[in-house]
Amino acid sequence: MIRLDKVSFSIETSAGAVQVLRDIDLQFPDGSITAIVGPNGSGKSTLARLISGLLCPSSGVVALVDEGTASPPGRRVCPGVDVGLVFQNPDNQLVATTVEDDIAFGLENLSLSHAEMVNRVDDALDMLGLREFRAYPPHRLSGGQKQKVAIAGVLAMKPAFLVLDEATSLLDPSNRQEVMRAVFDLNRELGIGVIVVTHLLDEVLGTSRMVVLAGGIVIASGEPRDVFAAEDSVRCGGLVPPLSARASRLMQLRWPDFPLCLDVDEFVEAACLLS
Amino acid sequence: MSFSQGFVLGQHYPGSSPVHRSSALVKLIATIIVMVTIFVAVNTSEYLPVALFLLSGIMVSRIPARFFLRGIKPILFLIVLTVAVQILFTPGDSIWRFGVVRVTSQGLVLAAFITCRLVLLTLASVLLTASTSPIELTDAISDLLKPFRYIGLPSAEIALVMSIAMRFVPTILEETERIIRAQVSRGARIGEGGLVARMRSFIPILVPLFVSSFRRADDLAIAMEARGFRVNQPRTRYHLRGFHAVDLVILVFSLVTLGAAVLLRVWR
Repeated sequence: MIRLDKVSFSIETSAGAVQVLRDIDLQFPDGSITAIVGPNGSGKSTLARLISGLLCPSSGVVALVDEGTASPPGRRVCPGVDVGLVFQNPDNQLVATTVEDDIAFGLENLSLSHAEMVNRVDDALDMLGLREFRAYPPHRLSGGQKQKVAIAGVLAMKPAFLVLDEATSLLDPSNRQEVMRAVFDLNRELGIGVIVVTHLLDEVLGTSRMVVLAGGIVIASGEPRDVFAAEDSVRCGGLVPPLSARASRLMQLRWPDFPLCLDVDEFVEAACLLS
Repeated sequence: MSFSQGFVLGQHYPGSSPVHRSSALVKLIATIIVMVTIFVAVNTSEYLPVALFLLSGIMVSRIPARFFLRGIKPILFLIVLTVAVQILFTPGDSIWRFGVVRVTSQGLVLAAFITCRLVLLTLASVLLTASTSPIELTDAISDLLKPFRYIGLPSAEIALVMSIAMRFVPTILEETERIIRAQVSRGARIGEGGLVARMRSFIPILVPLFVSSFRRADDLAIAMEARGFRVNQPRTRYHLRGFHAVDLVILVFSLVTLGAAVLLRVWR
């Protein structure tokens, strides 16, 4: 489990220190799927980098602890090995000239044996359905395929957690769905913990927990349905709830028992029952 | 217009021929030997063994001849210019005269010699890069530079930088095309007018290109760190190449080429 205790982060600018995150207390259990949402500038990406071990907090502790342990110390998060981070723009994170070489890049950094690397590259290609593209140069792939290569490169390192830092925000809706489906499949099949950092609330729907960040602090946390039920906290974060949730709210004005629906299918089903 | 089309030099032509399968390090060493032979030659006849060696390599590689011809195309202007300069300005026995213009037999010989030199150099480079993937080539350069580690040269890092540079060539070209289209759609006139105006018209392309490239480099550095990369950290290799019979053949034939060129000079 990744545990954040009283984590704050500030950066020095010419105008003085700017507090990016303040007193963040969060836990990410092994195998869980959590969404971190918030508007631009809320500190989501900084939080993702702190969780991944790429940044050290100005104060507080980010540690990997055994589940059930009351408090740190745990051990420090090792980037790539414990937590794999996938960034927004796939073009800026693919290093090698072919898909398989790119997947092998992280494994070369781990100084693994050749046989182990070959096995892991093959597994990662199969998991993301990229086997036919193994010899392709990255620039010949679609945006969704490139992002899958980035995820495969991270997965090959077998981290306990996968952090997607707005990894689908540059993709079209079908590519976005394809990537998210692949990630949720990985969570289900491998038990890998997933942390989705996004400002697209539709991506929250497949997660079991949601954290709303605004102005560097956590303003709401819990199951997506509970967080959306307390709509003020979402709006406070400068975010607009999904269309079906907003429509449910309107329905509740007329039919108070109408459930809060988070996706269209759920809404249609509830509306049919109503009629 | 696409910037990414038409440049053959540096492009990999995938295949499974013995030349493709041979060690990149051996091919790199053989290319260096061939280039040394080309540069130390003093007359056209010494290029005969080099031409034979390269033609054999091209035939065995099963890479189409048109691929090599496309490789020579970009240097045609350089060849024509060099030939013109040699023909017109080399002193010697005049074979044709028109006013102040004088063509000498020595000029023609020198022009043929330089043309052979440029064509053979290009063919050697294209054969190396076409039959070797960029990652194999950078690994080979890293191996070649390895002895210099002891004097502080970061050979592995240099190879990685080269590999990343090659990886980003198409991306930067696409970015350039995108910026040009964006600026043209906003009324920019790229490459029009006099020399100064033409040079100035590239500023709105270069500035955003530099900014985005620096941003890309920053993002890439963080992404590499996120995947466990550290400078001076030992790394293993995904691609392993042993030393096979074909490597020995290439190495021996490249040395024979050098030897034959030397013998040809001695016999003259």
